[in-house]
Amino acid sequence: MKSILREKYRYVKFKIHSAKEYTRQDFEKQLRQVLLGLMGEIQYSRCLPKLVAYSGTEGIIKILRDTEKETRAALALITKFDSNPIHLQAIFVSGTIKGCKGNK
Amino acid sequence: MEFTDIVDFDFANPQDYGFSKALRVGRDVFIYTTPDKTLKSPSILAVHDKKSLMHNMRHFDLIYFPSYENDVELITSAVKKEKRFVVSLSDILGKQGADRSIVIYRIRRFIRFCNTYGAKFVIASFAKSVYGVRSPKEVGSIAHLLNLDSQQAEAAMRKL
Repeated sequence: MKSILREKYRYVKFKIHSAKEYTRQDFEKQLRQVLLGLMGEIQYSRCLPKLVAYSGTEGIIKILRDTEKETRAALALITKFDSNPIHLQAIFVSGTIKGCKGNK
Repeated sequence: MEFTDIVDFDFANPQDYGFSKALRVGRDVFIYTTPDKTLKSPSILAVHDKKSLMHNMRHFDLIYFPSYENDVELITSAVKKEKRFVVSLSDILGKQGADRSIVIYRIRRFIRFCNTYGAKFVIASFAKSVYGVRSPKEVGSIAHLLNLDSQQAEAAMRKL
């Protein structure tokens, strides 16, 4: 495949501030629902966020390139998962997972 | 760069979020709805009524107009009196769905008016808990929705 046709991704590392602990499955489900609500189906399809790493206090989502601004804004606007307050603080954006994991 | 936020709770570690200090409502910064004889500074006038706001703004350091109505008379009056408007992030974060979209639209338009007529504004979170605080970088991201670039957003947080 020509490299121009290959999808290019960005990885957004974020810190999780929440009193409640979530399992990876729960967190992924909630995140997907909230982001879909914030972005709408059209923007969500352009961004296609996917949780690729989760540790309970930090996580990394994979998004399509050139949608970093929208994703960061959407993450900053998240205030609740169900009715539990939560804050996802985007701390780093990288072109590789390795780059994200290396940055504290 | 030094950033300041206004919050409505005891914020122990503003440095963790990238702020050099956080001003607590009622202790470091004071919100009024009418001019008071014992006015403490820095003071914020928070009124829904435009006439009252225009009449009393000269007594206060900052003006908070929660409806973010685009009124040329009000904005030019603030420019003349060298008063700054307050944009509260809790107005955005405290709402969900269509209500939040409407507030984002109103603030975006209000900021556009401010920029057109040269009115200055500051951005603060007015958070009631740590979950409502957003770091300067995050505010930069939210500012993208308000048609501001991250430098303009950072400048609005430095001016406090």
